[in-house]
Amino acid sequence: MAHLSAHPLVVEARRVGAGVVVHLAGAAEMAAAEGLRDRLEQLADQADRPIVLDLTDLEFLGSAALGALLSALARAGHDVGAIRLVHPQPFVMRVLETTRLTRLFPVYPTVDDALAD
Amino acid sequence: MAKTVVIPSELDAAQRAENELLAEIAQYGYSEASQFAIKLAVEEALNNAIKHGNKFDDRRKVGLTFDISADRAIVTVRDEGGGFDPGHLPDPTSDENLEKPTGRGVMLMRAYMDEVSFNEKGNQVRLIKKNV
Repeated sequence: MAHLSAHPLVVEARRVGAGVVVHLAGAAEMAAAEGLRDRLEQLADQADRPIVLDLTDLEFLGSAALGALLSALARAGHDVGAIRLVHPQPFVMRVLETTRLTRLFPVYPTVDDALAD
Repeated sequence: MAKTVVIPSELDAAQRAENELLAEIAQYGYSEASQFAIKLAVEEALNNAIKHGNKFDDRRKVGLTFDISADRAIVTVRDEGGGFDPGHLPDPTSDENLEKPTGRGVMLMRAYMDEVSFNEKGNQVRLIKKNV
């Protein structure tokens, strides 16, 4: 079995209509969480809705990064649905389910589905 | 044979130590799911030790000890803080705590590892994952 890959987190945002799609690739490890929080809070402050996080290429998600998502949700007025998740890989999905955060962050199969809802 | 790495209370240093441990795990043929579980639990333990235990105090160190074999991984994380009572933590999955940005580390360790135990003071956690 190969070493579980841990590529540095790369965050790329693009505006789509009134919202923004944020592609997260690599590992959302503890050392990357503060930068992620700052970026997501900034997007939330700009009032773009929804904020769609494309998790297709996200390899790892720890609780520090979950805290970043929750801080951004607070900045978005605690509005469930303001931050939407797309296509998390099974390991990442299990973290979301174990923490019950799928109750706050709805999960969609595609970016188009998340934007259309 | 167990190996110990002593690191400063810095997240980047913890990340490097964690990667050293994970490279050893990979050599023993642990499944990808087990590697993910160990990475997650160790990261939570290190994060707690630096933030909540040592409170980012650069005079305080974190000790990471790991003993890896083909059968199981044993990892110990120790900080120099005052400790805490792991038996009296709020449930981070309850509705009233769900939006709090912190407080999930111990719950995730317990969910992903086979054994999680703390010393009496609460400044050291021992994690065990079987290689099945």
